[in-house]
Amino acid sequence: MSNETLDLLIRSFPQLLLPMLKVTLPLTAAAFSVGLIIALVVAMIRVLEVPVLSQICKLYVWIFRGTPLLVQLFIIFFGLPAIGIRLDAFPAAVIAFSLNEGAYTSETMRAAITAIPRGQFEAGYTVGMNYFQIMRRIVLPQAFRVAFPPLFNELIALVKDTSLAASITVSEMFREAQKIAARTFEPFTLYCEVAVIYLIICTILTRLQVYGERRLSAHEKR
Amino acid sequence: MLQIRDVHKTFDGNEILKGIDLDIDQGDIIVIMGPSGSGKTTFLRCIEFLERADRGHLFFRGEAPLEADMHRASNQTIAQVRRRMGFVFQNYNLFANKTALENVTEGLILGRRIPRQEAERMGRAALERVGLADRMDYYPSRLSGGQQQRVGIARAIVGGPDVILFDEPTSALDPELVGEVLAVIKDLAEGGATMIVVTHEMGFARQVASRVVFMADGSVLETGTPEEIFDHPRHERTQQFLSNL
Repeated sequence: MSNETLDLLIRSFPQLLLPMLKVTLPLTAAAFSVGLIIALVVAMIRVLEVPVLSQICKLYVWIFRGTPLLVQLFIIFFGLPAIGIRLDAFPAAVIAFSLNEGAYTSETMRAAITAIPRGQFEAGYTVGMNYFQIMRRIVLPQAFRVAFPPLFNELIALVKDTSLAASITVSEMFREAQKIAARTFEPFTLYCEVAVIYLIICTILTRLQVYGERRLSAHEKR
Repeated sequence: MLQIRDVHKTFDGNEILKGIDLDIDQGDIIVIMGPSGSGKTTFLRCIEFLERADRGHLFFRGEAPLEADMHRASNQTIAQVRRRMGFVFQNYNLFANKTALENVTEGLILGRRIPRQEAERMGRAALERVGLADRMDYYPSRLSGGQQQRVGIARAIVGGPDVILFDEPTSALDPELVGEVLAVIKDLAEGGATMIVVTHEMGFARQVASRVVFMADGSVLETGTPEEIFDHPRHERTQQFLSNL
Protein backbone atom coordinates (compact mmCIF):
# COMPACT_ATOMS: atom_id res chain seq x y z
CA MET A 1 0.00 0.00 0.00
CA SER A 2 1.45 3.35 -0.99
CA ASN A 3 1.96 6.05 1.57
CA GLU A 4 -0.51 8.31 -0.20
CA THR A 5 -3.22 5.68 0.01
CA LEU A 6 -2.58 5.11 3.70
CA ASP A 7 -2.57 8.83 4.26
CA LEU A 8 -5.88 9.18 2.44
CA LEU A 9 -7.42 6.36 4.45
CA ILE A 10 -6.39 7.98 7.71
CA ARG A 11 -7.39 11.50 6.70
CA SER A 12 -10.77 10.48 5.35
CA PHE A 13 -11.64 8.22 8.26
CA PRO A 14 -12.96 10.96 10.59
CA GLN A 15 -14.74 12.55 7.63
CA LEU A 16 -16.59 9.27 7.14
CA LEU A 17 -17.06 8.32 10.77
CA LEU A 18 -18.66 11.63 11.62
CA PRO A 19 -21.54 11.37 9.10
CA MET A 20 -21.91 7.72 10.13
CA LEU A 21 -22.43 8.79 13.74
CA LYS A 22 -24.33 11.99 13.01
CA VAL A 23 -26.53 10.90 10.11
CA THR A 24 -26.46 7.21 9.22
CA LEU A 25 -27.03 5.87 12.73
CA PRO A 26 -29.66 8.46 13.74
CA LEU A 27 -31.47 7.85 10.45
CA THR A 28 -31.38 4.13 11.09
CA ALA A 29 -32.55 4.52 14.68
CA ALA A 30 -35.37 6.89 13.80
CA ALA A 31 -36.61 4.84 10.86
CA PHE A 32 -36.38 1.58 12.78
CA SER A 33 -38.24 2.92 15.83
CA VAL A 34 -41.02 4.51 13.81
CA GLY A 35 -41.10 1.42 11.59
CA LEU A 36 -41.53 -0.80 14.66
CA ILE A 37 -44.45 1.25 15.90
CA ILE A 38 -46.11 1.17 12.47
CA ALA A 39 -45.43 -2.55 12.27
CA LEU A 40 -46.95 -3.29 15.67
CA VAL A 41 -50.10 -1.32 14.87
CA VAL A 42 -50.44 -2.90 11.43
CA ALA A 43 -49.76 -6.39 12.78
CA MET A 44 -52.38 -5.99 15.53
CA ILE A 45 -54.97 -4.66 13.08
CA ARG A 46 -54.36 -7.61 10.80
CA VAL A 47 -54.32 -10.19 13.60
CA LEU A 48 -57.59 -8.77 14.95
CA GLU A 49 -58.95 -8.56 11.40
CA VAL A 50 -60.39 -5.11 12.05
CA PRO A 51 -62.75 -4.40 9.15
CA VAL A 52 -61.69 -1.66 6.67
CA LEU A 53 -58.46 -0.88 8.56
CA SER A 54 -57.28 -4.40 7.88
CA GLN A 55 -57.82 -3.87 4.15
CA ILE A 56 -55.99 -0.55 4.25
CA CYS A 57 -53.06 -2.18 6.03
CA LYS A 58 -52.92 -4.94 3.45
CA LEU A 59 -52.82 -2.36 0.68
CA TYR A 60 -50.03 -0.49 2.47
CA VAL A 61 -47.92 -3.62 2.92
CA TRP A 62 -48.56 -4.62 -0.69
CA ILE A 63 -47.41 -1.26 -2.07
CA PHE A 64 -44.32 -0.86 0.08
CA ARG A 65 -43.13 -4.41 -0.35
CA GLY A 66 -43.88 -4.40 -4.04
CA THR A 67 -41.90 -1.29 -5.03
CA PRO A 68 -38.18 -0.55 -4.76
CA LEU A 69 -37.02 1.42 -1.74
CA LEU A 70 -35.07 3.73 -4.04
CA VAL A 71 -38.24 4.54 -5.98
CA GLN A 72 -40.09 5.22 -2.72
CA LEU A 73 -37.33 7.64 -1.68
CA PHE A 74 -37.54 9.42 -5.03
CA ILE A 75 -41.32 9.72 -4.90
CA ILE A 76 -41.26 11.17 -1.40
CA PHE A 77 -38.36 13.57 -1.95
CA PHE A 78 -38.56 14.50 -5.64
CA GLY A 79 -42.17 13.59 -6.41
CA LEU A 80 -44.23 15.03 -3.56
CA PRO A 81 -43.18 18.69 -4.22
CA ALA A 82 -45.17 18.39 -7.45
CA ILE A 83 -48.31 18.14 -5.37
CA GLY A 84 -47.17 20.82 -2.97
CA ILE A 85 -45.52 18.73 -0.26
CA ARG A 86 -41.94 19.85 0.18
CA LEU A 87 -39.73 17.95 2.60
CA ASP A 88 -36.10 18.35 3.60
CA ALA A 89 -33.91 15.44 2.62
CA PHE A 90 -33.45 13.97 6.10
CA PRO A 91 -37.14 13.92 7.12
CA ALA A 92 -38.03 12.59 3.66
CA ALA A 93 -35.55 9.77 4.19
CA VAL A 94 -36.93 9.01 7.67
CA ILE A 95 -40.44 8.82 6.26
CA ALA A 96 -39.50 6.59 3.35
CA PHE A 97 -37.39 4.21 5.42
CA SER A 98 -39.98 4.08 8.23
CA LEU A 99 -42.81 3.23 5.89
CA ASN A 100 -40.74 0.63 4.09
CA GLU A 101 -39.48 -0.86 7.34
CA GLY A 102 -43.00 -0.85 8.81
CA ALA A 103 -44.37 -2.84 5.88
CA TYR A 104 -41.73 -5.56 6.12
CA THR A 105 -41.63 -5.69 9.90
CA SER A 106 -45.40 -5.89 10.25
CA GLU A 107 -45.27 -9.21 8.45
CA THR A 108 -42.53 -10.44 10.78
CA MET A 109 -44.58 -9.41 13.80
CA ARG A 110 -47.81 -10.83 12.48
CA ALA A 111 -46.13 -14.15 11.88
CA ALA A 112 -44.61 -14.09 15.37
CA ILE A 113 -47.93 -13.29 17.05
CA THR A 114 -49.78 -16.01 15.17
CA ALA A 115 -47.00 -18.45 16.07
CA ILE A 116 -47.92 -18.24 19.77
CA PRO A 117 -50.17 -21.22 20.59
CA ARG A 118 -53.89 -20.61 21.11
CA GLY A 119 -53.60 -22.30 24.48
CA GLN A 120 -51.82 -19.24 25.85
CA PHE A 121 -54.92 -17.16 25.14
CA GLU A 122 -57.25 -19.81 26.51
CA ALA A 123 -55.27 -20.09 29.73
CA GLY A 124 -55.40 -16.32 30.09
CA TYR A 125 -59.16 -16.30 29.65
CA THR A 126 -59.68 -19.04 32.24
CA VAL A 127 -57.84 -17.00 34.88
CA GLY A 128 -59.94 -13.93 34.15
CA MET A 129 -57.67 -11.88 31.91
CA ASN A 130 -59.10 -10.07 28.90
CA TYR A 131 -57.78 -10.09 25.34
CA PHE A 132 -55.57 -7.04 25.67
CA GLN A 133 -54.12 -8.09 29.00
CA ILE A 134 -53.24 -11.45 27.51
CA MET A 135 -51.75 -9.77 24.45
CA ARG A 136 -49.65 -7.36 26.45
CA ARG A 137 -48.45 -9.63 29.24
CA ILE A 138 -48.32 -13.08 27.67
CA VAL A 139 -48.43 -13.11 23.89
CA LEU A 140 -46.45 -10.06 22.77
CA PRO A 141 -43.45 -10.80 25.03
CA GLN A 142 -43.28 -14.30 23.60
CA ALA A 143 -43.88 -13.06 20.06
CA PHE A 144 -41.07 -10.55 20.52
CA ARG A 145 -38.75 -13.36 21.45
CA VAL A 146 -39.74 -15.18 18.25
CA ALA A 147 -39.45 -12.03 16.14
CA PHE A 148 -36.17 -10.84 17.63
CA PRO A 149 -33.73 -12.54 15.22
CA PRO A 150 -35.62 -11.51 12.05
CA LEU A 151 -36.12 -8.01 13.47
CA PHE A 152 -32.40 -7.73 14.00
CA ASN A 153 -31.82 -8.91 10.44
CA GLU A 154 -34.05 -6.11 9.26
CA LEU A 155 -32.17 -3.61 11.41
CA ILE A 156 -28.86 -4.72 9.93
CA ALA A 157 -30.28 -4.49 6.42
CA LEU A 158 -31.58 -1.02 7.21
CA VAL A 159 -28.16 0.28 8.30
CA LYS A 160 -26.83 -0.59 4.88
CA ASP A 161 -29.92 0.56 3.00
CA THR A 162 -29.55 4.05 4.42
CA SER A 163 -26.75 4.49 1.89
CA LEU A 164 -29.55 4.88 -0.66
CA ALA A 165 -30.38 8.18 1.02
CA ALA A 166 -27.25 9.54 -0.64
CA SER A 167 -29.29 9.67 -3.83
CA ILE A 168 -31.69 12.20 -2.34
CA THR A 169 -28.84 14.37 -1.02
CA VAL A 170 -28.86 13.23 2.60
CA SER A 171 -25.31 13.74 3.88
CA GLU A 172 -24.90 10.28 5.31
CA MET A 173 -21.63 8.40 5.19
CA PHE A 174 -21.83 7.07 1.67
CA ARG A 175 -22.57 10.47 0.16
CA GLU A 176 -19.59 11.94 1.98
CA ALA A 177 -17.47 9.12 0.58
CA GLN A 178 -18.70 9.93 -2.92
CA LYS A 179 -17.70 13.56 -2.44
CA ILE A 180 -14.22 12.70 -1.20
CA ALA A 181 -13.78 10.16 -3.99
CA ALA A 182 -14.72 12.76 -6.59
CA ARG A 183 -12.25 15.22 -5.11
CA THR A 184 -9.31 12.83 -4.72
CA PHE A 185 -9.92 10.51 -7.71
CA GLU A 186 -9.50 7.53 -5.34
CA PRO A 187 -12.85 5.70 -5.59
CA PHE A 188 -11.41 2.28 -4.90
CA THR A 189 -9.80 3.31 -1.63
CA LEU A 190 -12.73 5.36 -0.44
CA TYR A 191 -15.46 2.88 -1.23
CA CYS A 192 -13.49 0.03 0.31
CA GLU A 193 -13.05 2.12 3.41
CA VAL A 194 -16.79 2.76 3.51
CA ALA A 195 -17.45 -0.94 3.09
CA VAL A 196 -15.19 -1.73 6.04
CA ILE A 197 -16.95 0.80 8.25
CA TYR A 198 -20.36 -0.70 7.38
CA LEU A 199 -18.91 -4.11 8.08
CA ILE A 200 -17.69 -3.03 11.52
CA ILE A 201 -21.05 -1.50 12.44
CA CYS A 202 -22.92 -4.62 11.30
CA THR A 203 -20.52 -6.87 13.18
CA ILE A 204 -21.20 -4.91 16.36
CA LEU A 205 -24.94 -5.24 15.75
CA THR A 206 -24.60 -8.99 15.21
CA ARG A 207 -22.83 -9.23 18.57
CA LEU A 208 -25.66 -7.30 20.16
CA GLN A 209 -28.12 -9.71 18.59
CA VAL A 210 -26.40 -12.71 20.14
CA TYR A 211 -26.36 -10.99 23.51
CA GLY A 212 -30.00 -9.96 23.21
CA GLU A 213 -31.13 -13.43 22.21
CA ARG A 214 -29.36 -14.89 25.20
CA ARG A 215 -31.09 -12.48 27.55
CA LEU A 216 -34.50 -12.96 25.98
CA SER A 217 -34.30 -16.72 26.23
CA ALA A 218 -33.82 -16.52 30.00
CA HIS A 219 -37.11 -18.31 30.47
CA GLU A 220 -35.91 -21.20 28.35
CA LYS A 221 -32.66 -21.69 30.17
CA ARG A 222 -33.03 -21.01 33.86
CA MET B 1 -74.88 -26.02 43.29
CA LEU B 2 -74.32 -25.94 39.52
CA GLN B 3 -76.88 -27.00 36.95
CA ILE B 4 -76.09 -27.32 33.29
CA ARG B 5 -78.98 -27.75 30.91
CA ASP B 6 -79.44 -28.81 27.31
CA VAL B 7 -76.02 -28.01 25.87
CA HIS B 8 -75.82 -28.24 22.10
CA LYS B 9 -72.83 -27.66 19.89
CA THR B 10 -72.26 -28.20 16.19
CA PHE B 11 -68.92 -27.90 14.41
CA ASP B 12 -69.02 -27.66 10.62
CA GLY B 13 -72.35 -29.45 10.42
CA ASN B 14 -71.29 -32.19 12.86
CA GLU B 15 -73.45 -32.29 15.95
CA ILE B 16 -70.88 -32.77 18.70
CA LEU B 17 -73.18 -32.18 21.68
CA LYS B 18 -76.82 -33.23 21.42
CA GLY B 19 -78.30 -31.76 24.56
CA ILE B 20 -76.24 -32.50 27.67
CA ASP B 21 -77.58 -32.01 31.21
CA LEU B 22 -75.48 -32.18 34.32
CA ASP B 23 -76.16 -31.42 37.99
CA ILE B 24 -73.26 -30.88 40.34
CA ASP B 25 -73.60 -30.66 44.09
CA GLN B 26 -71.15 -29.20 46.53
CA GLY B 27 -68.26 -31.65 46.95
CA ASP B 28 -69.20 -33.77 43.95
CA ILE B 29 -66.46 -35.37 41.94
CA ILE B 30 -67.99 -35.97 38.53
CA VAL B 31 -65.88 -38.08 36.20
CA ILE B 32 -66.82 -37.93 32.54
CA MET B 33 -65.64 -40.87 30.45
CA GLY B 34 -66.29 -41.99 26.93
CA PRO B 35 -64.64 -42.75 23.61
CA SER B 36 -62.71 -40.01 21.82
CA GLY B 37 -65.01 -37.87 19.73
CA SER B 38 -67.85 -38.36 22.19
CA GLY B 39 -67.87 -34.64 23.04
CA LYS B 40 -66.48 -34.78 26.59
CA THR B 41 -63.84 -32.13 26.04
CA THR B 42 -66.16 -29.92 23.99
CA PHE B 43 -68.71 -30.07 26.79
CA LEU B 44 -66.13 -28.97 29.34
CA ARG B 45 -64.88 -26.19 27.05
CA CYS B 46 -68.45 -24.96 26.54
CA ILE B 47 -68.95 -24.69 30.30
CA GLU B 48 -65.80 -22.57 30.52
CA PHE B 49 -66.87 -20.56 27.44
CA LEU B 50 -63.76 -21.55 25.53
CA GLU B 51 -66.26 -22.70 22.91
CA ARG B 52 -69.55 -20.96 22.39
CA ALA B 53 -72.40 -23.47 22.71
CA ASP B 54 -75.23 -23.20 20.18
CA ARG B 55 -77.71 -23.64 23.00
CA GLY B 56 -77.62 -24.31 26.73
CA HIS B 57 -77.98 -22.80 30.17
CA LEU B 58 -75.87 -22.74 33.24
CA PHE B 59 -77.11 -21.93 36.74
CA PHE B 60 -75.12 -21.43 39.90
CA ARG B 61 -77.45 -21.96 42.85
CA GLY B 62 -76.96 -20.93 46.44
CA GLU B 63 -75.87 -17.71 48.09
CA ALA B 64 -74.80 -15.93 44.94
CA PRO B 65 -77.01 -17.27 42.18
CA LEU B 66 -75.85 -16.73 38.65
CA GLU B 67 -77.46 -17.66 35.39
CA ALA B 68 -75.83 -17.72 31.99
CA ASP B 69 -77.24 -18.38 28.57
CA MET B 70 -74.40 -20.41 27.13
CA HIS B 71 -75.06 -19.12 23.63
CA ARG B 72 -75.68 -15.45 24.26
CA ALA B 73 -73.83 -14.61 27.47
CA SER B 74 -72.12 -11.22 27.48
CA ASN B 75 -68.42 -10.89 28.17
CA GLN B 76 -69.29 -9.66 31.62
CA THR B 77 -71.37 -12.72 32.43
CA ILE B 78 -68.67 -14.97 31.02
CA ALA B 79 -66.14 -13.29 33.29
CA GLN B 80 -68.43 -13.88 36.29
CA VAL B 81 -68.82 -17.55 35.41
CA ARG B 82 -65.09 -18.04 34.88
CA ARG B 83 -64.35 -16.43 38.21
CA ARG B 84 -66.26 -19.24 39.88
CA MET B 85 -64.48 -21.98 37.97
CA GLY B 86 -60.94 -23.22 37.60
CA PHE B 87 -59.80 -24.92 34.42
CA VAL B 88 -56.96 -27.41 34.00
CA PHE B 89 -55.84 -28.10 30.43
CA GLN B 90 -54.63 -31.33 28.92
CA ASN B 91 -51.48 -29.59 27.68
CA TYR B 92 -51.06 -27.47 30.84
CA ASN B 93 -50.94 -24.25 28.77
CA LEU B 94 -48.70 -22.54 31.28
CA PHE B 95 -47.63 -19.03 30.30
CA ALA B 96 -44.21 -19.78 28.82
CA ASN B 97 -42.75 -16.38 29.70
CA LYS B 98 -43.80 -16.49 33.36
CA THR B 99 -42.39 -18.34 36.35
CA ALA B 100 -44.48 -20.89 38.23
CA LEU B 101 -45.48 -18.28 40.80
CA GLU B 102 -46.26 -15.66 38.13
CA ASN B 103 -48.37 -18.22 36.29
CA VAL B 104 -50.50 -18.57 39.38
CA THR B 105 -50.67 -14.88 40.32
CA GLU B 106 -51.09 -13.27 36.88
CA GLY B 107 -54.84 -13.81 36.77
CA LEU B 108 -55.33 -12.65 40.35
CA ILE B 109 -53.44 -9.42 39.74
CA LEU B 110 -54.79 -8.55 36.29
CA GLY B 111 -58.14 -10.32 36.20
CA ARG B 112 -59.26 -9.74 39.76
CA ARG B 113 -57.19 -6.70 40.68
CA ILE B 114 -55.87 -8.30 43.85
CA PRO B 115 -52.80 -6.40 45.14
CA ARG B 116 -49.54 -8.07 44.17
CA GLN B 117 -48.44 -8.90 47.72
CA GLU B 118 -51.71 -10.56 48.57
CA ALA B 119 -51.74 -12.37 45.21
CA GLU B 120 -48.24 -13.69 45.83
CA ARG B 121 -49.21 -14.93 49.27
CA MET B 122 -52.16 -16.76 47.73
CA GLY B 123 -49.98 -18.05 44.88
CA ARG B 124 -47.35 -19.46 47.25
CA ALA B 125 -50.05 -21.19 49.27
CA ALA B 126 -51.52 -22.75 46.11
CA LEU B 127 -48.11 -23.95 44.91
CA GLU B 128 -47.39 -25.41 48.33
CA ARG B 129 -50.70 -27.20 48.14
CA VAL B 130 -49.58 -29.00 44.98
CA GLY B 131 -46.13 -29.73 46.42
CA LEU B 132 -44.11 -27.19 44.46
CA ALA B 133 -42.90 -24.91 47.22
CA ASP B 134 -39.36 -25.34 45.90
CA ARG B 135 -40.18 -24.52 42.28
CA MET B 136 -41.87 -21.11 42.60
CA ASP B 137 -39.30 -19.25 40.50
CA TYR B 138 -38.85 -21.87 37.78
CA TYR B 139 -39.98 -21.19 34.24
CA PRO B 140 -42.25 -23.88 32.76
CA SER B 141 -39.54 -25.08 30.38
CA ARG B 142 -37.48 -26.13 33.40
CA LEU B 143 -40.28 -28.18 34.94
CA SER B 144 -41.28 -31.77 34.18
CA GLY B 145 -44.68 -32.42 32.64
CA GLY B 146 -46.03 -33.51 36.01
CA GLN B 147 -44.72 -30.38 37.68
CA GLN B 148 -46.13 -28.20 34.93
CA GLN B 149 -49.53 -29.77 35.32
CA ARG B 150 -49.35 -29.23 39.09
CA VAL B 151 -48.66 -25.55 38.43
CA GLY B 152 -51.69 -25.67 36.14
CA ILE B 153 -53.73 -27.05 39.00
CA ALA B 154 -52.40 -24.43 41.41
CA ARG B 155 -53.39 -21.76 38.89
CA ALA B 156 -56.89 -23.23 38.70
CA ILE B 157 -57.45 -23.40 42.46
CA VAL B 158 -55.74 -20.21 43.60
CA GLY B 159 -58.86 -18.07 43.33
CA GLY B 160 -60.94 -20.51 45.38
CA PRO B 161 -63.32 -21.56 42.60
CA ASP B 162 -66.69 -23.20 43.27
CA VAL B 163 -65.86 -25.94 40.80
CA ILE B 164 -62.67 -27.08 39.06
CA LEU B 165 -62.82 -28.44 35.51
CA PHE B 166 -60.11 -30.91 34.46
CA ASP B 167 -59.76 -31.65 30.75
CA GLU B 168 -57.86 -34.96 30.52
CA PRO B 169 -55.26 -33.68 32.98
CA THR B 170 -52.94 -36.68 32.66
CA SER B 171 -53.32 -37.58 28.98
CA ALA B 172 -50.25 -35.64 27.86
CA LEU B 173 -48.02 -36.99 30.62
CA ASP B 174 -45.41 -39.71 30.52
CA PRO B 175 -46.82 -42.73 32.39
CA GLU B 176 -44.45 -42.36 35.33
CA LEU B 177 -45.65 -38.80 35.93
CA VAL B 178 -49.36 -39.56 35.96
CA GLY B 179 -49.33 -40.65 39.59
CA GLU B 180 -48.10 -37.39 41.08
CA VAL B 181 -50.79 -35.41 39.27
CA LEU B 182 -53.59 -37.80 40.20
CA ALA B 183 -52.38 -37.69 43.81
CA VAL B 184 -52.78 -33.92 43.84
CA ILE B 185 -56.27 -34.15 42.35
CA LYS B 186 -57.23 -36.80 44.89
CA ASP B 187 -55.91 -34.65 47.67
CA LEU B 188 -58.08 -31.76 46.50
CA ALA B 189 -61.07 -34.07 46.22
CA GLU B 190 -60.57 -35.26 49.77
CA GLY B 191 -60.28 -31.65 50.86
CA GLY B 192 -63.86 -31.12 49.71
CA ALA B 193 -63.31 -29.53 46.30
CA THR B 194 -66.05 -29.83 43.69
CA MET B 195 -64.85 -30.99 40.31
CA ILE B 196 -65.68 -32.24 36.87
CA VAL B 197 -62.92 -34.46 35.51
CA VAL B 198 -62.70 -35.71 31.94
CA THR B 199 -60.30 -38.63 32.08
CA HIS B 200 -59.53 -42.15 30.93
CA GLU B 201 -58.05 -43.12 34.29
CA MET B 202 -60.48 -45.78 35.44
CA GLY B 203 -58.61 -46.53 38.66
CA PHE B 204 -58.79 -42.88 39.60
CA ALA B 205 -62.49 -42.72 38.75
CA ARG B 206 -63.19 -45.76 40.90
CA GLN B 207 -61.42 -44.33 43.92
CA VAL B 208 -62.49 -40.72 43.72
CA ALA B 209 -65.63 -40.22 41.67
CA SER B 210 -68.92 -39.62 43.39
CA ARG B 211 -70.56 -40.03 40.00
CA VAL B 212 -69.41 -41.30 36.64
CA VAL B 213 -70.97 -39.93 33.48
CA PHE B 214 -70.54 -42.01 30.36
CA MET B 215 -70.79 -40.07 27.12
CA ALA B 216 -70.92 -41.31 23.53
CA ASP B 217 -71.73 -39.53 20.28
CA GLY B 218 -72.64 -36.26 21.93
CA SER B 219 -75.07 -37.66 24.48
CA VAL B 220 -74.94 -38.96 28.03
CA LEU B 221 -75.54 -42.70 27.75
CA GLU B 222 -75.62 -43.45 31.43
CA THR B 223 -74.59 -42.03 34.74
CA GLY B 224 -74.16 -43.61 38.15
CA THR B 225 -71.74 -44.45 40.91
CA PRO B 226 -68.39 -45.94 39.85
CA GLU B 227 -69.66 -49.38 40.92
CA GLU B 228 -72.79 -49.05 38.82
CA ILE B 229 -70.94 -47.92 35.72
CA PHE B 230 -67.85 -50.08 35.94
CA ASP B 231 -69.31 -53.29 37.39
CA HIS B 232 -72.83 -53.26 35.98
CA PRO B 233 -72.91 -51.10 32.88
CA ARG B 234 -76.34 -51.17 31.32
CA HIS B 235 -75.48 -50.06 27.81
CA GLU B 236 -73.68 -52.24 25.35
CA ARG B 237 -71.67 -49.21 24.26
CA THR B 238 -70.41 -48.68 27.82
CA GLN B 239 -69.51 -52.35 28.19
CA GLN B 240 -67.63 -52.23 24.92
CA PHE B 241 -65.72 -49.12 25.90
CA LEU B 242 -64.80 -50.44 29.35
CA SER B 243 -63.63 -53.80 28.03
CA ASN B 244 -61.26 -51.99 25.68
CA LEU B 245 -59.64 -49.90 28.38
